[in-house]
Amino acid sequence: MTTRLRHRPNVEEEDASALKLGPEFNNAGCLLISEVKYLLENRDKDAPDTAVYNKTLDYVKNFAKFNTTDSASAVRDGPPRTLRREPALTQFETAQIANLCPADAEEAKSIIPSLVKIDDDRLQTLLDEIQTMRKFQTCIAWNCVAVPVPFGSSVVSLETYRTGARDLVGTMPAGTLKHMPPVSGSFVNTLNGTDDV
Amino acid sequence: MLQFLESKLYSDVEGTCSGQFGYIIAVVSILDIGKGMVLSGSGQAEFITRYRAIVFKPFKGEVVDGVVNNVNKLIHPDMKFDPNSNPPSFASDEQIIEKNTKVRLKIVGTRVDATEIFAIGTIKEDHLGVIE
Repeated sequence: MTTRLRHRPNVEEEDASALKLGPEFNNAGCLLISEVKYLLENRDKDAPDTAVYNKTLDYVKNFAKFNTTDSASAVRDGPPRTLRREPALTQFETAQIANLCPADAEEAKSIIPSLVKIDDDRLQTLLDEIQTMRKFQTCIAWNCVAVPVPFGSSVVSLETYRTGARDLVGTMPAGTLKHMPPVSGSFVNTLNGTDDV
Repeated sequence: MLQFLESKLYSDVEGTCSGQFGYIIAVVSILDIGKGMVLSGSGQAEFITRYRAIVFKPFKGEVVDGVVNNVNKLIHPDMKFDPNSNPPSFASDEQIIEKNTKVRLKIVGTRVDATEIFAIGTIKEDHLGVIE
């Protein structure tokens, strides 16, 4: 009787919670959903009419957390404590944090278990920073000056404005900003409008 | 010819799926179109082209967000299936899941087919379930 030889290459079982993504993906770059959205929408070729492409486009429109180019790149690269500043994070973890936007360290460690290596306080600061960027994403860019803006009782510092937007803020009557509701309505729309300048 | 190879690459790989790389959603750039090798015995030439592409592959243990497409009668101890609601839904005290609901789930297993990847997910953990 012959023994059946099993040709089973020693494949490492995939497990994202332990950062095991298989040989092809262990060292691969991971895009944020917002970045995929940008890439698909700004493609110089015609969009391929495949089911996969169209579903992806729907998906990224639905789930992109950072809807402007500036905020998507700021969450990765921008100051002060964003994802690239945290050397312990792998590409996969970076993408998971920015895609899922957990509110606190406990939630983050529950949905991305490999984050246990990062200290709670440190992680919390990072997550807070990202939440702030989400809230003020229409204003965030990183080539300009800091403008403190009082919103009601809490003072929120918008790190930066796009140059065009800053000029616009500069021309507003002095009292305007104080009475601005937090990011909604015409203020944001105006800032959006200047993005193309 | 380059033009032809390019469009051939786009039309051949975009929208395909393999177990190794997952779904190839879109080719972003071509790194090296490759040197052509004429195959002996036929007039065809073979090019090994390197390109960069956006791919999607679900991993076991990964938490993802998704939109509900279809609700059927799988059993979840804390939720009741209501086939009479319109659309059919799953409901527990705190959440209702029906078509188009957004949910956050954890992938517990994947199965790779020739043209598709199937994944099984769970919402029975902290911080998972209906979102927004």
